[in-house]
Amino acid sequence: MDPSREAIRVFLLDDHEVVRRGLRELLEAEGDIAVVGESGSAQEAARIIPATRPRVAVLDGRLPDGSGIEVCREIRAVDPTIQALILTSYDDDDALFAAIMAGASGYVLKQITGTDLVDAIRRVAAGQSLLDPALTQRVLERVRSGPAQPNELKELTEQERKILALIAEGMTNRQIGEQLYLAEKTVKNYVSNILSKLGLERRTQAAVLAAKLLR
Amino acid sequence: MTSDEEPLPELLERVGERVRDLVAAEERVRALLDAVVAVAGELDLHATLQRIVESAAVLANARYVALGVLNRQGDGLVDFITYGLTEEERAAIGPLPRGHGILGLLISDARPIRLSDLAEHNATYGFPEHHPPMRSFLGVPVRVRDRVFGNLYLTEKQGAAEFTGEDEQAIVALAAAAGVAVENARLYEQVRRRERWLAATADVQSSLLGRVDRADALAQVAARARESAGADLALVVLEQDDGELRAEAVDGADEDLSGFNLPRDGALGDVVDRGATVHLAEGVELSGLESVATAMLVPFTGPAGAGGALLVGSHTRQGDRWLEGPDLNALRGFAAQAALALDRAQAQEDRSALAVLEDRDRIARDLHDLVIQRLFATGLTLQGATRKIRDPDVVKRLSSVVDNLDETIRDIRGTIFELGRGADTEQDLRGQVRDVVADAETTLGYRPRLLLSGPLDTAVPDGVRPHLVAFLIEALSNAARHAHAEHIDVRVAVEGTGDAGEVVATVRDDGKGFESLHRQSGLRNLRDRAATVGGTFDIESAPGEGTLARWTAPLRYGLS
Repeated sequence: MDPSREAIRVFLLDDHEVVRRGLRELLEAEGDIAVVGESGSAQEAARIIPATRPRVAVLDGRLPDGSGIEVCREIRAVDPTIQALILTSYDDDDALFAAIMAGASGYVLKQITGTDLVDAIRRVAAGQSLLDPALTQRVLERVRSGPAQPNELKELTEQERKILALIAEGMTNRQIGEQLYLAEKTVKNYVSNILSKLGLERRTQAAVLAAKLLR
Repeated sequence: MTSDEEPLPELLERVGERVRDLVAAEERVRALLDAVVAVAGELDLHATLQRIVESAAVLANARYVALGVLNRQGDGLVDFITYGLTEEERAAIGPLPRGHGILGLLISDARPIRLSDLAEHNATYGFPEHHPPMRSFLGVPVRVRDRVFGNLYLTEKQGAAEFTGEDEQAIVALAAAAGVAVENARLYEQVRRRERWLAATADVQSSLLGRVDRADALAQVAARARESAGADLALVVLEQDDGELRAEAVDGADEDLSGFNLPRDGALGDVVDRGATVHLAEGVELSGLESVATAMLVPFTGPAGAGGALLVGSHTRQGDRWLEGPDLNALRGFAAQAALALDRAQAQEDRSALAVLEDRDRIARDLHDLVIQRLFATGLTLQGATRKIRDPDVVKRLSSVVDNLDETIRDIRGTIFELGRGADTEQDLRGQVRDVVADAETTLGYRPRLLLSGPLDTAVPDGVRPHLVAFLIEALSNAARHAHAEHIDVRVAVEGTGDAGEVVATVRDDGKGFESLHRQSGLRNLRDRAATVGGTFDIESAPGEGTLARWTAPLRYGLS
């Protein structure tokens, strides 16, 4: 560890205590990373993260009392200097989409070896984004190109889609509020709606079939 | 004794004649009564008709008797029941008379006709070849209610030159009794048919309960419809998603029609599109069903509300085979009830499918929330502990445990993905790749391991996808045919960012490998497919070392 450099302050949000402990051990063993706080609840995290002033927040995407995506948007609206990484169980399109929605700098797969969380934290702390701009662009285009695109997007209202496009451009809730003359709280409500409509917790087959039968 | 008194012998002679006449008349009456009883004793229509011609022959002492049954228009014959002709003679004569000539005369003017010689009558048309000679003739109409049902034709009076007035009276009386018997038989037949339809309807309802297989259920409907109608074939025709009308179930003759599309015109179109019920008799025009001569069609609603028709058909032209009123209504009722039963079975199936999916969702959620999280946490703890251990052997062993945990997590992710598939028909790239790998299982006998990584659906351009899938299919089938491998690993991943981003697909087997590459067919094709999208293809192999096929394509393909 280079004593001349200040340790990277990291906050951990995951509902499994064992996961947080494991991550804490892993990160603190590096020497240049300090875990300044942790939580298992989305509500609590949204409240305390800004106060602990982390450089990087590592957030589980799905939590029992809310979504890591919303937590991320909220804390970044308060303090845009906080960089975030979404911790995900799946390395797929939803993970990428969730990270973009959250305004995070990237996503990290829940994999013990192979994905280098430590490396990811260092790069993000240095201001880099782990998201491929070309892919982010593609997601943005998909949002903008409207009804021809995936079923889930069709369920969004025009306003919601407009907000989604601004989210994909990396704007915080506050910035979106300023641009669209909306209260930050209203933007927050829109984001909640969008998340639930898009079913970022992947829509279950039972829900899909039930919807089909009820039609 | 007066002059006009007859001499005794003549008188005795006359009395004797009267007595004989009385006896003969009594015998005749008894014969007529016997005939009426015999005719009325039958309930089956065809047996009744047969009994009528037999009784007529006995009653009037005729060598040949026939009963011609009129068609519905009353201007021709549809059936011809004979007595006195052997099968061979009937066959030699050829087709049944159509109702011309003297037979036609009785049809157009329904009154008894008695002739001493058929040949002398000017309406005679003449006999066909191989027809036995017939001279004396008696024709009497048979009425059912007030309609002429048919005509009794008697020829060749035995023991005399021609039929007598008594013969005519007796046959007219028999014809009246026959009309009643025919009416009875018809009513009885109708009641029996109705019973048969009711039984079939009840049967289909109970047998479809809890039935889930669509093809099976429709086959059942077709089978019961055919049986109950006494038809040669029955078809369930249903509208497909693409708007075509397909024969989804066929019972009886023409079973090879099954799965074929039928043109949506004529009667079939009327039934499917306008809910008509159609009874087609004699000279049916049904495109696609040329062998059908008589048919009934009613609307039939398939599972999930698809429009369609139920058709029963006969190959023979038989005008009175089915009656427009009772039979068509019965079929319609049957079709409606069967559709209802199907709908109920479908709803039941949907409910249980939903229950299964809910179960799967719950299992997937538990696997994710409980199993993966714990394995991940355990792995992290182990890894943390490893750092404090100095013994390189222990470190090595712990590392391999951690690797195993990672692999298990990957497998569970795959399982979760599989649990989530099924009802969804959306075909994303992930799903396509999974399907290809699942298909390979049938030829390999085991399922290759699959690892998918990265936002494949966002990242991989549309133009690349078919080539990527083709590579996987080809590489897997090569491995199945040549490698004799025990394990195959398939990996599809998005690697690199920006302009350097590419999709990398690999298929690795632990089979026998090979030395020379050029013998492998299909390799050139794969290389070409890679080149088409600006990518690469290589294959590495050595005897005993297995084979690794690697295929890549840039993510910017197709983008400016």
